[in-house]
Amino acid sequence: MVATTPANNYHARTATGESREPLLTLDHVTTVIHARKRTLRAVEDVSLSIGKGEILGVVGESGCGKSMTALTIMRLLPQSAVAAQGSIMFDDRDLLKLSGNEMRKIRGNQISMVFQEPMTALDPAFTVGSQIAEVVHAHETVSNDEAMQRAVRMLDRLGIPNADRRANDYPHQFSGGMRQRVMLALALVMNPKLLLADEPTTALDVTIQAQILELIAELRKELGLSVMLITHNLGVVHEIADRVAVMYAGEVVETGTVAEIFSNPRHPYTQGLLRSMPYLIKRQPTLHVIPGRVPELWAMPNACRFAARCPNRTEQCIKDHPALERIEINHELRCFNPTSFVR
Amino acid sequence: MSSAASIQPVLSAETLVDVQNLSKRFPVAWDFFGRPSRFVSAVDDVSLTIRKGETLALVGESGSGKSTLARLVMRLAHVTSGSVTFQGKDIIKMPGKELRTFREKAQMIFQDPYESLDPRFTAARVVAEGMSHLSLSSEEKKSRIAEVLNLVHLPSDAAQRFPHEFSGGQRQRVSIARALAVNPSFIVADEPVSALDVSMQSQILNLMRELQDRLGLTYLFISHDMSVVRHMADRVAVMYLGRVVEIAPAEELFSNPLHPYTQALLSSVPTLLKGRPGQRIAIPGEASVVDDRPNCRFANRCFRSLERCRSEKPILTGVLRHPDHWVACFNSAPLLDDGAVA
Amino acid sequence: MASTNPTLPISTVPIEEIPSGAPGRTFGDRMAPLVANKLALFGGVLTLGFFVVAVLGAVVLLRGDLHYLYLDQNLRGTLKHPGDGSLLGTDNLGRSMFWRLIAGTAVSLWAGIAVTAISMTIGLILGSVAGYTRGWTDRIISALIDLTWGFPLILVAVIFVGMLEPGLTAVIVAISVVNWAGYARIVRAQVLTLKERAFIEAARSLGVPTWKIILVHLVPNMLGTMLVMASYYIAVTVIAEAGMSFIGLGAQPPTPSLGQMVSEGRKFLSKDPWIVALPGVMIALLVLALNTLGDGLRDIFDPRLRRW
Repeated sequence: MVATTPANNYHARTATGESREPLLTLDHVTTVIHARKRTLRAVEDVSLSIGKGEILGVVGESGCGKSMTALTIMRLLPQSAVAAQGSIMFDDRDLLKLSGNEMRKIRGNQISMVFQEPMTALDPAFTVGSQIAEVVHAHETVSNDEAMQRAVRMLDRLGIPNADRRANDYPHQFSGGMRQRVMLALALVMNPKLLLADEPTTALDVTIQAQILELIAELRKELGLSVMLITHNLGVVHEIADRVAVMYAGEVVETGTVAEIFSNPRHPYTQGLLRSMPYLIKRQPTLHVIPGRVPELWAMPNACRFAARCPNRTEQCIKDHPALERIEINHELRCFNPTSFVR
Repeated sequence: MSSAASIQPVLSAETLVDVQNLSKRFPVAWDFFGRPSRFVSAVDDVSLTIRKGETLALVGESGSGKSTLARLVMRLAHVTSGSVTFQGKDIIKMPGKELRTFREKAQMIFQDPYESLDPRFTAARVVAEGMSHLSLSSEEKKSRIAEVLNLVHLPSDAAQRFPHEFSGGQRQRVSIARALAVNPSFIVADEPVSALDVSMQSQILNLMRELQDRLGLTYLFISHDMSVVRHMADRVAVMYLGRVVEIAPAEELFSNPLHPYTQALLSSVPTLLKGRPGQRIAIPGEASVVDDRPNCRFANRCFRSLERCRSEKPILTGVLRHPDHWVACFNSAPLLDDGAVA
Repeated sequence: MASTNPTLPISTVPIEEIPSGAPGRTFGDRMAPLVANKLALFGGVLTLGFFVVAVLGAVVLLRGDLHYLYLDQNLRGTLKHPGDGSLLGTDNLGRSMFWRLIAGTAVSLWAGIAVTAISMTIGLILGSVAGYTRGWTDRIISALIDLTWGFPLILVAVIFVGMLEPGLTAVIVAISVVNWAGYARIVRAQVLTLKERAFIEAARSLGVPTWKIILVHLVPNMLGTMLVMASYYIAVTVIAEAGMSFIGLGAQPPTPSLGQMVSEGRKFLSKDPWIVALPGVMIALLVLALNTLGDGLRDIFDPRLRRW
């Protein structure tokens, strides 16, 4: 019942239309969770692409599957979850087909991930320097001194003052923003090609968030790093991302360049999101409300998943399932009845 | 001595809550005998007034003291020094019976919708909790519960459900209903939408607006989210490390921020309304305070700091151009037209 | 409702539904972890079995006309081996081991339950008050807890039994006097964390008095911990009671007690070991059952293990 779209020939394009070589391509990836009595389709038929040196923002509300997508790429799914279909091409290799050992060589080395809560991601019993050095040791044979030197250099590069001294401190001795920098140091010490950042600034103050975002943008320029930035904050995406993919109920519903999506969103969910955020676009005395709730994971309709809440729904929307189609060079959409956006 | 004692509203609006020189100290170091030797004030000599019917927003990042201030105003924490008066009466030294009346008139909404409801209580029980000492018959109680659930747009069968059956936004509405059940005139909302998804945020903000119009409520609205604040607030007070650094009507603050911290804060907020990120004012380092010495606590990160900022404490003073705009800074200056620093 | 402006229209925001068919946690869902954990299931079933035995034993002990079952001496049929005429053999006075075991188990288990009920109540009250009110009350109660905690159980028991008459009542009092402390400690620790939760703060802001907050909010949210602790503490008490009966301080004859039986049976250990072995095995099994049940309950109530 689900129509397919060939994603193989997709080249990511920048706002000016230049094409970037794709670094990572997800092709019809589906991840299911086997719970006690039912199967939950957490990620459904997701096709995405990230180019070299590009920042892709993946936006959606909680439960939309964006974190699960990142965990699927890293093959860090919980035991009950399985990537049931599709392929994830990275460097001409399908990540879903690699063995455990081969995947371990990639994690932390070529693809890294940072999470929302740095306190839980860092081991409180070890100094930050030794944790970063551990990553180096995991992927290369170097002396302890060499590994520690690289750790200190990384901490310094990420803006930790007195890095050589602070490398001997424990995670609890750092503030929230500093810990996030430590996480980034852990992730980037092996100079990976791709960084998956799952809500990296959500738990931080807005002034610290600004610092971290600026840092990520700098690193992209300096290291040629590609970033998949997962967030629910559209403003953050607008700040540093090149392209954005909007997810809803486990599916990608719209993708495009940031300029295109923010000026001309076609999917009713994207439009609703933009309208319901105060002062994102303009001031409104009453905020727009998207009525209803996200369908539960075990009760996904076979037709359009947004139809129940959609102001534009038609007969077709409650019978058939729309496919993700390219409507313009910079714009993909999953919708039978899009309308243009009136600010 | 704070000159903020003379913050008198220009409009002749009645003052509902008057905070004067409020402080809350915590010990951070102890001597050999275990007695505290050094203190830090989480709320340091704060004075402000909340006027009847308005929404005063309290903005700040972590460590600003805004949540602590809220709890002091609600008498949920002990005050070290200073006073809080509600409708002219001092609530810090209030005896038991009067305190109960205060607790009916002033209510609080909390940040975490998953934590602010007892998982073992039905919605009806949650809402009725504050009403137990009012001598109402069970009929009256039931109808009041239904009335209040209706006010927050929850369906009638919500009363028998448990928190885990509701979404985050619905839980927050149950919280609001609980606060409304005792018929308050003043509500302190501590980050009421920060833990909610975007689509639920807008519902709750709209609801709060509507309730304020219908019931004549006064809000002390605490948030770190500037866009939300801009949408909801009549006046805004910006706090940094326990002190109020700037306070002004909302539109005035957003169009003409004068304190360097306010300027940096506003420029860090991602939104589409202003110019390109290149104009962002970046402030280095993080907020931290070691003790209660007289200085400006923002000086070490400030892009306009002077020598005197490190040895003298700035006081809230009125701005010449505007009758209700106050700044605590020795070197405040407006931003240039393109948003750059003067 | 004061100050409602009657001219404002009722809002047109649609009232949204609460989804029914939300996977509410049915009894089956809650019990699932217990069933899934085979060891815990074993413990649960075994404990249930012991409970049945204890009820039977209680009936026998309480009904005067049934006392003969464990009291009747048959001096011509002494020291019979199990299976030789009687089900589990007879002791040195020809009394039925079978019925003595049943009565003895009842004594052990009910003593355990009585002690746990008393010490749980004391510990709950004192621990909650200490944890919630802090300050001097907390310091005094904590000092009391530490003091009690440090006392060796047998010493206190001996003192108490010396003051009162030896017997089951004295034992129950003695163990309760010491046991409440461990319980109070854990309750206090739980209350310290629980009271920071927002719904407690909300109750305070509503003017709910302290005693009501403890009773209505704190205690029900500690039920899980209490249940787990109860199962462990009953086991501890069973052992303590057996120990005291062993040295003669517990239930006095003719009321049978497992510890007492072990003590009496020592004389016959070489030739008729079942007189010692049977009550010993009963004690061990009972404690095993309670402990594995406790482990299983702990798993059920662990919030992290609750998924989907």
